[in-house]
Amino acid sequence: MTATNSFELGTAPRARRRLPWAARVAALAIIAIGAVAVLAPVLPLDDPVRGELSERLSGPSFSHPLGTDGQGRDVLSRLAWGARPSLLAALLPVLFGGSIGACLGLVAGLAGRTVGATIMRFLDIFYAFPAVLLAIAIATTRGAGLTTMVIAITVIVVAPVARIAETEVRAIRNLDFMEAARASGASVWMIGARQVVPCVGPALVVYCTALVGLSLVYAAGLGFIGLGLAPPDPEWGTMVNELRAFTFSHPWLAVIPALVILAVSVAFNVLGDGLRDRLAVGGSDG
Amino acid sequence: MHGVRSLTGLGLYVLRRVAVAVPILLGVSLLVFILLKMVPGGPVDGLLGPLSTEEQRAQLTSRLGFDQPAPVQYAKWLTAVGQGDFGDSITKQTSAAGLVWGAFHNSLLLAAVGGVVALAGGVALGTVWAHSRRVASRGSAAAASVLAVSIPQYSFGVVLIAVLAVKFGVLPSGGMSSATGEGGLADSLRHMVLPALTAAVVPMGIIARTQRAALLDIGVAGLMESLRARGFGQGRVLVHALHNTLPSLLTVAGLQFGYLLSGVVFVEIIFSWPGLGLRVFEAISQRDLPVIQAGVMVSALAFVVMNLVVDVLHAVIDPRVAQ
Repeated sequence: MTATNSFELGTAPRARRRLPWAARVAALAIIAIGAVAVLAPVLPLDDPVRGELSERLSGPSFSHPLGTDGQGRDVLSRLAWGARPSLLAALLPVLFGGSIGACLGLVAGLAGRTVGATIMRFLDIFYAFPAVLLAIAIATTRGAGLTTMVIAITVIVVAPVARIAETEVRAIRNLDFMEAARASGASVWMIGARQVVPCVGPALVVYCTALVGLSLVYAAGLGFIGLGLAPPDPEWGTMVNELRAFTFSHPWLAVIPALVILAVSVAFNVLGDGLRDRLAVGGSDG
Repeated sequence: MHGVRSLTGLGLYVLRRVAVAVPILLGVSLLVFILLKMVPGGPVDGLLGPLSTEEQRAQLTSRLGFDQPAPVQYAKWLTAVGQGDFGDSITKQTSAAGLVWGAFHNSLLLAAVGGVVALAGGVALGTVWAHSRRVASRGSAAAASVLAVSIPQYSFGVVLIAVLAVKFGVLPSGGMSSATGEGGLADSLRHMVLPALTAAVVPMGIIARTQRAALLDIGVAGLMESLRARGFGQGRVLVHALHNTLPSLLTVAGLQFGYLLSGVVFVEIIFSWPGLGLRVFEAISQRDLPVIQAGVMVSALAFVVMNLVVDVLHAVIDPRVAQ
């Protein structure tokens, strides 16, 4: 009983501990970008697809804060509209791939040696397969589009999440409360749902937060090499590639979408780091 | 371990690691094979074009062996691959293995230079992050490594080209050497700066994180405390601490080098570096199946071998691992 009490005393102040300021700024930035993506249709933006050729490659001005691209389209508007597919292609794969990977990892961690080893060795194949090439190959078999991007990135997210989940489950599988649950006659499913998921879940969610940054980078990478959305629809990676053609005449232009991708990727990584530090502090004083 | 206890030691450990690597490579080969079966249209349509007759298609299909059952095709392909024969490139009419091997050499060069930069930068960054006495240095190191991990290679490459190659014109923006072929070694090195730097950034950030975590590890921290108590200076203490982070450093650096080896696709595309990643990327867009297969198998092999080397070195540094 004493142990339980001190544990609870230890958790009370932790619940009120706030994220580091950097992680809070990152969370705000992500919310802001998400809001822009959701609200793009109602924001006072120019048409992202049709431009005025007479105004092509005009520098920043009042009507075009970030200037226009090679077809006279407003760059700011394309960035705002491009946030929709880019963010979806970053979030959905982590959601799908993370869920599949978590399930595989939980089963591998809880099941017997043979089943667990079989699952993990199977996933090792995906580790040895160069991730970017795998995504490119999958995208090529299906042709450009948002669904293609999501599927290609989902496939490469599964293996790392499964490995983390399996490691976390192995770390707790022989602890006293697990023994107690087994001794009380709970089924494997019951233990999985009541004991394992609450223990392992937070760590996986934190890991997946940081994975969104990577997923964004890979998804935009597919766009960059022409496997994103079909033109003329805006998407950040596609924009980097389109504007790259003007590197020599308008160097700053190609840098804009590149920096946006970088900023959002940093935001997800900083948020993931902040969440992980808080989680790690909580775990060590238990 | 099971029943062959008399054979323990490094030799057995190496054998076991090799035994694990073989099924992984077989799995990769099967995955490549299945993936390429799913390509719509397939190489026959790509080669003959829309104006070909049904008869021509059938002829080419049987010449390439595509009319046989898939398992037979796989077995035949795998047997040939075992002898280093990936068939001829469909677009270039030369051996796919030769094409890929040449490209692998270029990727190896880039990975070696990039790997050294990443290792040196990562260790320095991680050490400052963990043990600098100034809060500002620790903060900058933390920020730099988070930034490094998040940087998309194509973003960084585009920025580098815009600033260093276009604005200031100090470095070339692509290729392996000048078009004139003059300049020798100095020229090659100049061409390598930007791609190697771009390839090194993400691994550097990852190495910095691992290095910091290892330095802050309880055991190492205690060691440093006791060394300081005996009157060692900060430099000597750090040398001893760094020695103790070698195993984790080796693991992460080896893994990162493996990734670099398997072709840094985006870097090679941006800087037109004729390496494995660029070669396979081109082959994918041209539906050149033999080159894709050879490229993926070579990069998977490089990755698996790299892991093997890391495991063995780890066992040499820390003999407990092999027990």
